[in-house]
Amino acid sequence: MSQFEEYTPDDSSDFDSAWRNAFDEAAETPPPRVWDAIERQLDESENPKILPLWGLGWSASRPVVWGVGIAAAVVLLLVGWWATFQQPGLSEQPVAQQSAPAPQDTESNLATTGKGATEAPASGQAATVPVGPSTPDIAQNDPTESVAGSRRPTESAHTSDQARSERPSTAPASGRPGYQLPADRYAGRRGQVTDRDLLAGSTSRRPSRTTSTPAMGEENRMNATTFAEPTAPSVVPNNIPEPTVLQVSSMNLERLANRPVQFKQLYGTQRIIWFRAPEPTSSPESEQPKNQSRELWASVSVMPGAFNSSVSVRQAMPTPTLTAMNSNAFVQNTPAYDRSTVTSRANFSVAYQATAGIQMNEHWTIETGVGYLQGRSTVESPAQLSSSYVVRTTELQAASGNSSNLYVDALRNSLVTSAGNALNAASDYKGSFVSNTMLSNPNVAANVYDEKTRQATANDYVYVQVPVQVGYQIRPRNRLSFTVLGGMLTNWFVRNTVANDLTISAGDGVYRPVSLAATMGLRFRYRPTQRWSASLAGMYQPSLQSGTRPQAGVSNRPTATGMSFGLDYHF
Amino acid sequence: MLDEYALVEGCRRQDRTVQRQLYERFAGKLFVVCKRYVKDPDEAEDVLQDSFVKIYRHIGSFRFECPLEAWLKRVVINTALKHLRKEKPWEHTADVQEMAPILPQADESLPSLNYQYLLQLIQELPPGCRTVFNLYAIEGYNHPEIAEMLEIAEGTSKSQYARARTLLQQKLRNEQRVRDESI
Repeated sequence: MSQFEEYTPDDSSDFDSAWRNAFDEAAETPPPRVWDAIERQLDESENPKILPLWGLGWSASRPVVWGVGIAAAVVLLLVGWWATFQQPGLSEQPVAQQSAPAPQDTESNLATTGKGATEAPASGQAATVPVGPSTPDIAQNDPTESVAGSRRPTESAHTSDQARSERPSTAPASGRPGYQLPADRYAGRRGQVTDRDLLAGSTSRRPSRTTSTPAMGEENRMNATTFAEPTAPSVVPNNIPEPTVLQVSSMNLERLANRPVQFKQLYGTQRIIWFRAPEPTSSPESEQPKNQSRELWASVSVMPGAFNSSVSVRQAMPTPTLTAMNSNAFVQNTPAYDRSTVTSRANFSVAYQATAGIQMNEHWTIETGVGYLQGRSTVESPAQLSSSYVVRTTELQAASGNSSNLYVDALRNSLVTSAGNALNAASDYKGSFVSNTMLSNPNVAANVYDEKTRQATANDYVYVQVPVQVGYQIRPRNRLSFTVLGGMLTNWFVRNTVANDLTISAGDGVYRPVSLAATMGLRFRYRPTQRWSASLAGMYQPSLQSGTRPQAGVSNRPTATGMSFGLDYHF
Repeated sequence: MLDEYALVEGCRRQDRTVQRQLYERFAGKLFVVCKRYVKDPDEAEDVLQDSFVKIYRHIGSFRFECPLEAWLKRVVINTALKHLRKEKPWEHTADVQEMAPILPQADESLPSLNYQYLLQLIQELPPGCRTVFNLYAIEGYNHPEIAEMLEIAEGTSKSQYARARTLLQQKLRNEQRVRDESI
């Protein structure tokens, strides 16, 4: 070793400085894939990795996905139930007393003092707990962890002291506020400060931060032990029966009775309380992103999807009595109609929406807007039979070419009921239905429907929608972000065109002018620029109430499902 | 072009545009640093990538107590050492006595060679020698500091440096001889 010390004189510095100078300004552009990888890693790092339940291979099969989902729901319910019923028991658990009362002359109070003293070590132990976590926090915040990160704390402490004694640190303590522009600060030193100084400063600064806390902790722990000693004789294990405690206390009282009174209370109860100073409220640096995060955006979107009106007939249509009819086999077999006889299925729908949103904080958003929904749905219901009793109806139907079935008739019946004018309704709707007023006279006509012969009727609904949604962004400030959306949707009914023939508007008294629906979904937003972004959202909008009035003969609960494509502008 | 303060502030806000600017400004120099420590080009890219991810995550701890470039370089060196620490190449060292007879005379100066050639010479060194030579000759650490960083004995650091220097001087002499003969 001595040979090397002899060998490394000043003349070797020329060799080293020549190498140093050769690499001083050396630069080589890395391939573009490096930045791509960095960007990808930055995007991924801000979200914990989620193992998708739908997975790959066999786990992607539908039964497994549903099974896992149901199992998870059951487990959550069980845990929730368990937590709910376990909660009252928590109050029965003992709570550690924070302070020991001052000793009094009565035995009961002495016993209390003894109890309190038994808990003193526990509280003292708890008070020292914060010492531990503070050290790793500091270590984790230092990006240069790889030099000293893997070192053992004792080694680190030793080397830091050694380093401090060997050479003074040129770098000031970390966390010192006050930024000076590098040009001002280093202009005069650029030629003097070498990398060696900077790097040496860094290595000496880091251990000094990590070693200060354990040293203090050790010292104070010793102090805590010293202060705890006066109370130590009164420490009684919990498992000793209470009478023994009282006996010991009374014996102590007798001993103390002969001694002069000394006011040791002035300094008798000394306790080291580890107190972590509150963090500075918030620095301007940390406030800046918060203010900037409250941004506004406006977006337009189109949502193709499926719309199902979920229609049912609210009341059974009057069934003709046998005496009022001939021995017509069809009529005799006419079943009693109920809501299950009418079914509806979803058809293509499209919704256009213009929304505006505001970012409340880093994750939460609120948005609202206005939309136009054109939803198509097909209703299948028993068709009307042709019989001698329905001659008029059939003839009129044939003449007009209109369909007539249970659903359409119920709808028209509702219209007439609400309008209170059967004649007008009959002339308006070309006589293809028989109203309740007509049914009062069974000899005139009666609608008879065949359950086996079903007729499909197209419905074309138009709504104006006003959504109010709350969103939770899973990846805020990322180029690709996810938002879970949920909220309410106000559907303003405009019209429903049934079989391209019957148009029912909001004023006809069949449909509610305003009905409420829930809206929920998941939105992906890709934001390549600061101002513009594109979004793709899967939305589900079930109705929360019937879309028709209570007196109407039909009821519907429309549900819209679709995939929304949007373009957003961020202000 | 943003100044250092604006760069750091932008990176603290996780502004991707500013992060990109920081990368474009310093990646070239730092990539050479990576290549000095790690011979394999793909691994050097990995080290550069890890370094920048660390830089962006911990830029908040930069207090402007030193030039930004020095701080970035330190992060890269630490990342490279962490990468190399898996293999601990500096522990496989020749005995000091073994190296003593071939110690060169300290009169050489570098010929006017471009850095690519010098980088190639460094990369041809055994890993342990390369690391110690980089830390001592180019970064400017002293042997006690290198011993602490690499968790090796101070003598090991010295012997690795001496060996690296010998090998480099031999290569440089050979290069010079080839040049002279060609002239």
